[in-house]
Amino acid sequence: MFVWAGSITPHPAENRYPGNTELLEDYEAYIGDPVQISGPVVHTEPVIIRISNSHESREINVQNFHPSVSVGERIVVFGTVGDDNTLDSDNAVVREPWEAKYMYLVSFVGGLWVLARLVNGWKINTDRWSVEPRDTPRFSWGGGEDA
Amino acid sequence: MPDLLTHVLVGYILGTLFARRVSGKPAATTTVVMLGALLPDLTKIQIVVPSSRMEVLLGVPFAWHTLHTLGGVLLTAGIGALLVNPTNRRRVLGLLLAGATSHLVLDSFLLKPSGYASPMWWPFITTGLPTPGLYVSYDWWPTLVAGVLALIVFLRTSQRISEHQ
Repeated sequence: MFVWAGSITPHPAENRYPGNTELLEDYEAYIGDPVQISGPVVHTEPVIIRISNSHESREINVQNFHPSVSVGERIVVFGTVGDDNTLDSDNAVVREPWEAKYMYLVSFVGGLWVLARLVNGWKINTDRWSVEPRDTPRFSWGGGEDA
Repeated sequence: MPDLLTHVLVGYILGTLFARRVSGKPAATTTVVMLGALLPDLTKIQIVVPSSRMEVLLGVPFAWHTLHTLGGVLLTAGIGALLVNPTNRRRVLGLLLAGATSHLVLDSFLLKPSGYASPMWWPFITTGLPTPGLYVSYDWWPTLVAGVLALIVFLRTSQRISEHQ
């Protein structure tokens, strides 16, 4: 299934736009095409973002970009690829550095909550090697066994 | 995605409402829906092992992003259902899918600069559908709304239990 999905390529006519990965792999192939890329701002006048993957990166000059940004903020930008590492921006979303930290922190809380409930209400039956609900949760709170 | 806490809170609300209508252990039922709400974000494994590394290892195109699609959650929920004892299997599959689908639905409302969500209903719908752009992933207000609704559901459930005792 992962291989099948991997064989599906971006196709703007089907609203599947190339992103960082495609632009890093073959920039020239996408000149004139719409793309949606993201990365941290490394320069503000002009606005330049760095797109990267695990082994390479590229700096893109985002043109016609009007929101005020500062170095370190991340932007997700949709636009048309131009010559010479430029992008003609149509629309963008700006993300401040603290917002990512907030998201990771509350996401961690969410994951921890589910883990605690799993440990509390479910057990591994080693006789049958399967996961089963406990007859009685380890711990009950306000809603009793219903919450 | 909205943050995981929002997804889990929505899973809690749905799970608690489902648990009222099915037999069995209500808290355990709710937990399975909450777990299902996390499944699409298993795609974050790509932060540790990028898809490009998998492509090099396997020699074929590979996309972890599949985990964040309807086809992907059918796979992960199916694996989850196989881990439980056969008597609970169908129910757990349904509850995991309910939670995972709520995640995909919430993510289809995310603001995208292109105006189109990722094709998360793959392989049934391969195009990116238009998104109303209600929020971005790090907005705090969806978490607040989900938290208030979850608190109401929790209090109503607690009240219902105490009335029956």
